[in-house]
Amino acid sequence: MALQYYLILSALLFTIGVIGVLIRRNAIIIFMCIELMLNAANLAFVAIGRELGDASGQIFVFFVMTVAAAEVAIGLAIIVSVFRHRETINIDEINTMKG
Amino acid sequence: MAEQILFIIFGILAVGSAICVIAFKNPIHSALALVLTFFSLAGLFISLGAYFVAAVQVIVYAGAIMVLFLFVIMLLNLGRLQAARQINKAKVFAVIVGIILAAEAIYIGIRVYDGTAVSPSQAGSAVVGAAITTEQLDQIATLESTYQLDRAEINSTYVPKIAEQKSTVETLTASEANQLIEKLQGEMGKPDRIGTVLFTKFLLPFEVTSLILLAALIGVIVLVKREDPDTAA
Repeated sequence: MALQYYLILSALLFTIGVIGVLIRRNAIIIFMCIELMLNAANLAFVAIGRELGDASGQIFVFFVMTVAAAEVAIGLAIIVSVFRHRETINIDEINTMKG
Repeated sequence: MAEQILFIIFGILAVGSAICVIAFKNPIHSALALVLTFFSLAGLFISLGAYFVAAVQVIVYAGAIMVLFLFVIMLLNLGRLQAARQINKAKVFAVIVGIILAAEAIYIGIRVYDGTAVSPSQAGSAVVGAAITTEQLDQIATLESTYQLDRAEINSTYVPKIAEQKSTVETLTASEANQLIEKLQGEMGKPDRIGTVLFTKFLLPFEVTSLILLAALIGVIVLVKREDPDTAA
């Protein structure tokens, strides 16, 4: 299976994530879409690593997963504390920092 | 052939469930669709020979991270917060921008890598029956040092699988050496190979990730800790 097909699939998944971030107003769904984009990048890493015969691609996926786990923990904690103060997680209503 | 079938099945599943993630109204349904996306990606990793990464994908993403998502969705009881969704200008604009981005990314995916920079193993396969070249020997030596392999082990386990009656790397022909290099590279997704690289070449980054996790741990505790009414100013 050629590398191109994996890169195209990765591009599609990434774009679906971007569209999700742009059209959804729920902070948790936006978060899920960010996870989707990270996964699309992971797929590209593994596919290119296989093509070049280099294990570094898979090691980087490992690090991306660690960062994603930390990011999800922090992000969901922020969402929980915002919900406690504002009783909403609709990002249109959380606009205090807009100025 | 098996790889093509896996790619088509899991590729369609991944894209379909990813669209479901952004299309479902209820956040719990979106989260479950995202679990399916993560499982399909694990399947794609298996088709790429990255077995360790596939296992970690299922354990960390489909297991830990999604449980956290579902936990928060249910904790906040978000099912009742469904705002009426209407199609407005911003959403149409977002979809158009997304389609342009997709076209661009696919174009780059096709064109940036045209297959000319083939992996080194296929470089010297011109002459059939020629003896092993010094480049191939160098490459095997590099693989040995990267994955901490033993030449004696390669001679006794890998060489006889490729060419019977032969027992040392040096007696292989050039095409057989290519097969050996491909086999050694193809096994890089095995957990012991990943572990070897992780704890030699990438030891410092590996240690730094533990600091990231520690920072996340402390950050989460500080963020969600309720202020004690007795001590609050």
